[in-house]
Amino acid sequence: MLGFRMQGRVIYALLLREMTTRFGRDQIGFLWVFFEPAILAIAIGTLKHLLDRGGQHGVPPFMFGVIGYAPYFAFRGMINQAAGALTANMTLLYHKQVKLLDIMLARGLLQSGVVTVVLFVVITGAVWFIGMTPHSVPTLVGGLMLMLMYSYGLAMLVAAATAAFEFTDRIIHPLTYLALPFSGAFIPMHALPPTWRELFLLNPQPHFHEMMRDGMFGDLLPAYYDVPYALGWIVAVNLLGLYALSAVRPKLEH
Amino acid sequence: MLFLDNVTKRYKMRDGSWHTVLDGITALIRPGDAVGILGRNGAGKSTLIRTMARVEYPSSGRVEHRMSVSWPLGFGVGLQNTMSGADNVRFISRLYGRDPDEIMDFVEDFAELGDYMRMPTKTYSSGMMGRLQFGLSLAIDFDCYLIDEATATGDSRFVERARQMLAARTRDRAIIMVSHQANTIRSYCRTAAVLNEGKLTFYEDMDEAFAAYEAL
Repeated sequence: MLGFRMQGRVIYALLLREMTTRFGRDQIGFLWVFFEPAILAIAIGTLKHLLDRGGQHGVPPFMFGVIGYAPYFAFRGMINQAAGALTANMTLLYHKQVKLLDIMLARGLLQSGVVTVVLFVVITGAVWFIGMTPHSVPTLVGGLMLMLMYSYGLAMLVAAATAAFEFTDRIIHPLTYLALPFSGAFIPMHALPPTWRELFLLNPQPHFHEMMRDGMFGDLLPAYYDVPYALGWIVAVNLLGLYALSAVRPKLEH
Repeated sequence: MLFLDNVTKRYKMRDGSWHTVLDGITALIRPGDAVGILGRNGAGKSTLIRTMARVEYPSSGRVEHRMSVSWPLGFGVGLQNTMSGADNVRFISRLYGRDPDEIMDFVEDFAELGDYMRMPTKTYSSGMMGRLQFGLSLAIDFDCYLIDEATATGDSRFVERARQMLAARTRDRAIIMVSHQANTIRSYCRTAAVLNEGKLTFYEDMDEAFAAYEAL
């Protein structure tokens, strides 16, 4: 129990520190962290809206863009920020109660909090303007949670890999862009021919996006996802990530 | 008590060979001890102090803490240099479960940094950094202080205050200081040891240690 309280204290301290370094001391910085993804999501949504008039079976293109983009922004952010996270925070390891896991958890929690707030604000806005309410909030939230847990597991792996092998740092950033078309963030699985769909669904990411779309649009758009399959991937990447962190710790030199 | 049990630390070199920095070191530091460790540049002083702090893991052997041990106090170590002194104080207070306001009062009083408390620590001189680190670790109040030489050097006023602070406490606390300068060790410590070629040799008599160190 003492261990848990200690780790809680450490994560709380790291979280507040992460907020001051990222947001700065003034309130504007704090708002900016939320505005940046929100503005981008709205821009993507608007583009979708202008290019894709009429939409697919009554799915508002704006909402489709936002629901796809905001979570992908969080995914990309978590992965990119994990690259080099350990070497950048090496000075924290001079305090022996700080574990690599605490550093990762604090960052992951902050990132998750930001994207959840952004999605909440944008969806509330959409309800207001478009008059569209989510079909099933638990499904929407569930999809988001699964995606965040998957991102977190991958982030641990990326953090450990970039600390162990320098070259990985250079390839992570382009990879997150190249991975976009395969993530299913902007392609409904329903629009794909069945053989392609099967291939796409080997990747766990489209499952999360499909689940979120199901939660938002419901019967307007048939969704294809398999929660146990996605959970299997989540457990696998998280276990591997934990193992990678513990394996890389003795190699970290100050 | 801080106990090092047959601690060895090796680093792998670029060509694949191994370099042994600490070679089977056994040491026992008790409350009230004030030990200075002398070593030439590259002798492994910093590695030793980081291993003692348990922030670096030994290749073999073990390090046991039965008292609270400070982080290794050295230049900028353990601080985030883009954050202000005050933000660092708040962060570290929380990390060690102390009240940030209480710690802040003590540090402001001890370190005498004035407006620099609100400046990023990367703008600090080494003397200012030393005062901040020292004040902060004294405020948190550890049983054992691990000190890298750079932190303990400063103007005479600071050295005197730091020495008095530590002397007032070391009846039941411990200090371990590494340095390549005999003078620094003399002003803070009561016994001394020499680190050379991975081996640590303790001397009861300080002058004996200095003589052995000079003879290296």
